[in-house]
Amino acid sequence: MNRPNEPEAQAPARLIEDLRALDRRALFVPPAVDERLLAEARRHLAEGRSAAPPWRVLQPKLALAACLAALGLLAALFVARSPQFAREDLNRDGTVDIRDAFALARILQTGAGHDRAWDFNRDGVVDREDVDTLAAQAVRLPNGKQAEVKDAAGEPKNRNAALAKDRTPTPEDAS
Amino acid sequence: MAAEPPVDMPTEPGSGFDHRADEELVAAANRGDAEAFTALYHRHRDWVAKLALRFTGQPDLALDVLQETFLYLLRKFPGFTLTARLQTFLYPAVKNLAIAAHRKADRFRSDPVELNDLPAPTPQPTTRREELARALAILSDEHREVLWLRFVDDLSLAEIAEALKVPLGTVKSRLHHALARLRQDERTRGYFAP
Repeated sequence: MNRPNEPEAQAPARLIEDLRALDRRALFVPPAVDERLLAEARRHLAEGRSAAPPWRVLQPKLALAACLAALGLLAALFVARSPQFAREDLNRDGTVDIRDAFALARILQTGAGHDRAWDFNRDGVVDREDVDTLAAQAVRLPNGKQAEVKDAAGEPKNRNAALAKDRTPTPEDAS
Repeated sequence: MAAEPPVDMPTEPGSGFDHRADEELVAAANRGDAEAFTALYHRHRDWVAKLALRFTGQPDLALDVLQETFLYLLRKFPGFTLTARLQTFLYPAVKNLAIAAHRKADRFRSDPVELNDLPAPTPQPTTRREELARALAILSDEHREVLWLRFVDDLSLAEIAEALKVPLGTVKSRLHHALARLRQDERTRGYFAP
């Protein structure tokens, strides 16, 4: 709708109505997605992680960490062969966390694939119980990480978390 | 004086209705109140979902973006300070995560599917909204984006500037040019007729 205090940003009412109609596609969010996200929220908030250090204290450390990470990445590009991902790392981001449980749930829901390696509870079938098992594994350790990805040289290859606490995610986080 | 609760709070069956404003919910979540985060989630989930679908054009990618966005928000707690509307804070996260999701899927699109994947012009008469969709498709991403944010998501110009991390003058300029293009376009000039 138009705002009276923004006379430079007025549009005809019918145009606004039609714009909203064009954008009316709704996305169905399965209840299981809500449940997993909110379960992760309960776990995370219950842990009562320590508050983030002051930004000013953290900034030089982050800058140094970023430089070291860049150097490490350059070195890895020259020596790395095909990365070997943990079987729990379904989304191949180098970290085993709740996102991998989400990925397995989506695969099962859409029937997009099947792999015996996803039988995490070893009951002979790949089903929702394996999603729960993977989710439980992912959250068991304090930092949520359980498996370390190593490259062919045997060096740890942990990607920086795509969602570092104090940084808006950027498209480069996926690359 | 207590902050007024937002007027467009969605409700979820069985979840109750939380009258607290976003600022209060954020403060409570910072203290470890999971129900406060739950209320924030239900309040903003559908908007994030719609925005994710607008950017990705694909429901499965949009679901990924939805989950990643709220995980990103969750990792901000404790210690999160809300300095603007939560939608203003979430918008760049949704946008960037959608772009990242496209890159992962090797199917990057810069425009929403429903605006660009339109059938070729046919002799049959089209509806007014179809004409609008075609006119919007030839706007630049930046011009179209401010139209959505201002008239569909109902953000103020200042909020749009903050969400896009551009000066307020830039937002005004983009919006001005977007409306001017629609006014000049023969398919949409009828909206502006007196």
